[in-house]
Amino acid sequence: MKLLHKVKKYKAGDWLILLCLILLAVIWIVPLVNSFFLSLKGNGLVNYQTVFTFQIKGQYFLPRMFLNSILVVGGSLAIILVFSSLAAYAFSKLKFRGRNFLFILILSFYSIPVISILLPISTIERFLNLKDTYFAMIIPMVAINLPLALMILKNFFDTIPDSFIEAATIDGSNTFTTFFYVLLPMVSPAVVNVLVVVFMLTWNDYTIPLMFNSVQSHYTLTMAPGFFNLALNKSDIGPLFASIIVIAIPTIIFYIFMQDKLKSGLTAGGIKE
Amino acid sequence: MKKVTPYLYILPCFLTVTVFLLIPVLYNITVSFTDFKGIDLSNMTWNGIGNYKTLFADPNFRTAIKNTVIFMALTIVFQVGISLVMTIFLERGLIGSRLFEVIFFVPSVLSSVIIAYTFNQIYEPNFGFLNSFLGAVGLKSLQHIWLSDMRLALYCILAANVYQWTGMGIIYYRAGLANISHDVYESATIDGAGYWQRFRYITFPLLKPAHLTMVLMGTIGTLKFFDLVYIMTQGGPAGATEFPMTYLYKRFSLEANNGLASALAVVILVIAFVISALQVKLFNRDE
Amino acid sequence: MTRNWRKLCSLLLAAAMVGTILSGCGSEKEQGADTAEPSQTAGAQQEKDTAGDTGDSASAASLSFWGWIPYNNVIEPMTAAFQEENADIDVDVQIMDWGAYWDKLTLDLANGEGPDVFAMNLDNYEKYKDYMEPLDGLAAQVIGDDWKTLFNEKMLESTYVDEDLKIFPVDFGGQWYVFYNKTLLGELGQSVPNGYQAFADYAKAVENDTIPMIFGGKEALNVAYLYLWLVNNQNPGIVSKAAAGEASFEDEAFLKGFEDLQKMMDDGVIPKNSFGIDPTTDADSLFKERKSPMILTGAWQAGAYLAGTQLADSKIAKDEIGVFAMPTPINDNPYVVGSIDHGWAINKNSKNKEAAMKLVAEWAAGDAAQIWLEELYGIPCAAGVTLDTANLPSQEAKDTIGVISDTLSDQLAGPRSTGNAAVDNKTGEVVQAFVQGMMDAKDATAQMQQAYESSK
Repeated sequence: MKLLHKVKKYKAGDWLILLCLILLAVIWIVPLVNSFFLSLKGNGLVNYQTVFTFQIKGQYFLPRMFLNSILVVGGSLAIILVFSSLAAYAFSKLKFRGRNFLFILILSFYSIPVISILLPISTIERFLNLKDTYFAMIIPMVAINLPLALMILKNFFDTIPDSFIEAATIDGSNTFTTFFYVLLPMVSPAVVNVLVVVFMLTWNDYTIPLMFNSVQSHYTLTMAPGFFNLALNKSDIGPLFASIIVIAIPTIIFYIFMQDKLKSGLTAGGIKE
Repeated sequence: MKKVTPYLYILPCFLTVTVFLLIPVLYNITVSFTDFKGIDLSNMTWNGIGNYKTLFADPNFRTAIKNTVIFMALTIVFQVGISLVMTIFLERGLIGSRLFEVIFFVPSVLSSVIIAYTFNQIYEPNFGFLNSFLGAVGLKSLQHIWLSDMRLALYCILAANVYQWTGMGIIYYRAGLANISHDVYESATIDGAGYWQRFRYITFPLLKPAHLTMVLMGTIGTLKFFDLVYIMTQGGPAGATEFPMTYLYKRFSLEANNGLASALAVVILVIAFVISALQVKLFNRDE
Repeated sequence: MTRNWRKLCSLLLAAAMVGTILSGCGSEKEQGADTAEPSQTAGAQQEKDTAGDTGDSASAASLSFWGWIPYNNVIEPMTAAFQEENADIDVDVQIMDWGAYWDKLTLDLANGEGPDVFAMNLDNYEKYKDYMEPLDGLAAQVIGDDWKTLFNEKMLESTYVDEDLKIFPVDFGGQWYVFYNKTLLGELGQSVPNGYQAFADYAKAVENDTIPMIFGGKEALNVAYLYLWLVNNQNPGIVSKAAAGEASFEDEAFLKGFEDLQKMMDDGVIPKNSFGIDPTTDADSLFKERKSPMILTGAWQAGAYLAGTQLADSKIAKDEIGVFAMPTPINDNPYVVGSIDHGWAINKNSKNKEAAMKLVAEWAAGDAAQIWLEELYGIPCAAGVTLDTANLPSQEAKDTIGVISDTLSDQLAGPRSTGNAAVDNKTGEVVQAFVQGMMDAKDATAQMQQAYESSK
């Protein structure tokens, strides 16, 4: 019996669950619908048109900002995945001195507020000649999110019994091949988890792109709402909300796309106990 | 050679974190012992633990810590709890589940501006949804000036926070569930275990990595909590909803009191370290 | 062993390659784009000099500007007005929200960089004064010796701090004014109250029908400014004196200010629910939705309400809107508080100061100033800018708009804040506590004085 697939026959408890879900969904969706209607305030769907067609110095800017977001987020994701999976494997499966301490230290760095480290990071970036490059934005994003990715991956690696590793070693695999071909596929749900969560956090981040970048052609999508603060009173919020919703859409699409990946089972690449 | 391998694996991660997080932390530690105010780095003088004394003597800081603790506990109960319940419900694969899931998820990708605005509307004392609803069902005596009420404002903000982030927890739990081998369930069903028993003895314990992540994220994440609370109450009224980050923002950005702000950042880091150490040790002991 | 090291290395190399491509992309776009950011590396900082210079030559000058205001749809015509006469100077504009603006400005100035021109107000003057170029000499050099005639003399004088002029002022703003909806008042059977007692009577009369007056009391600073205004009415100028150390925050006027505040609350003039109303979002929409005939706010709303710049779709678009200065319990002809609301400053590290001066002059006192002030309806500091009151939508607006400039020039008691962020924040806190009945006046003023002393 597969617990994760569609249940064809509804049992009595299922109807109750469905009712609860509908109730929760109603509570959750009302503010969203309300926000959508607020984004239509004033000019209706023209607000969205304003967002998509806005220009700086006669050039359409939204596509470029979208591209920049993709570059920055994509770059950050790639680097985070590589760095954190390697490190998580080591923290979980390899033995070395200071393992626990270092892990806890890196975890605690997750609490560092970005504004406290703006000045030191920007100084370091200038020292490394990174100013005005995409890296200026990517590296802080990587640094901020590494603890989270590390946390997720290590916790999953921990659940894999050592017997798998022993079996692989007996088969002649060394540290890296064990990591890359055996263990990594086994934690693919965790990898997807990291992908979705880090994508979301980096895509929506506006502090880092704002503070570490002053080059107009590098603006990311999260700078867009700043262009739609058209009124003294924030009660004229149509285009502003529209721009925020536009920013949210790619993440939602990415999430829907990833939903399926989270349903896959485990036994790929493993051995029966 | 073999002894160096682990260090190689953690090297890229460690290097990034050291250069871009550890060095800034050292900067903050240094500044926290000075009276650096304003912009220019050249006019600071050594202050010893003066900033720390000021910090711990400040009632607003104490309130911030108290609020954080309350928030952490409630976040774990509500956010993590509701996330788990939602995930389990959604796993049944009932009709519309995919849609429900997206609905729960969307608030976490909307900027806090929208969430805060929405809840501000709900809590608005004259015509907001909450007071209007209470008036309509004859519960006028329960009407309050929600976000301005020193006892209730915190919980009002909690509600907004739960609304925003619960959906994201589903991702973590979903990944956790996907990690559980079907064979375990099969053998349990063969042995005659019912649904509730399967949940209690198999699912729940085997979700440990997800639990740990959620709790760690919930607690350390609460230390970073800022956007919603600043837009909704700015830490008011009279510091009742002060959080470490709102306190930091006021000292750092508004008052340019860098020494004090850095001291706060250091204290927060120490707290995070202690919390992480406790949780990691606790969860590992169950192995 | 060597095999998997190679794999490890190739993985890291791949990541590095991705990175280099990206950074290569970065500098390519940099050179190709026409929005070249002039690097502001000044010589005098301790960190290593960066190679960020994109090699823009001195001939085609390029300026960067940061501000939180005005908004994008206003800054564009302003920039266009400047470009008409200065086509060889390129202006790069970045408008961001208030909080982020100061953080970013601080960050870049601390690194010895920052934009050529930036927006500034007097509240933050103290913090940034070392990074702003003194404008006297530069103005004389670029504009001419008669540059001072561009401005209203009195207002220009008030922009000098310690005999330095570092901001070209744009507009003068003040508080506290009540914008009222005469039409709605008429519907309620009321007329415009004259004097404090009449106001209290009016509040009593309408309390069951509507909100007597909207006040955005949720924000601590807003309530602080209201309180400090009451204090300034008790003793004009005392707030600035206390902030300069020449008086104490525990003086009588400060205690009496709390009494006044309490009276306004007791009389229903400041309704209890005010403290749940957000000044920037809720207050405005409540007024526009006709939920109250009065709103207590600052002169900067004149553009929105009197000139109708943002009334297009609202329910009050056709109503008669007027304004008067809010009376206090002890003063029917009250003092108002205000100062230079906004100005332009030039970065000391700028490499294009002459060009920057041209921009600043145009924006502060040229056609661009006219454009902006028509949007905002502030009191202009430029001598050549007058706001056309003949085209205001309602008769009441035309009749009463003069009140603002009259009171600001004749009845000014000082700036609205203490000028000291730590004291302002603390004042906001204690006033909120007082309003909730959790602190008494003596305690509150003691804490304000304490905050002042620790900030020195």
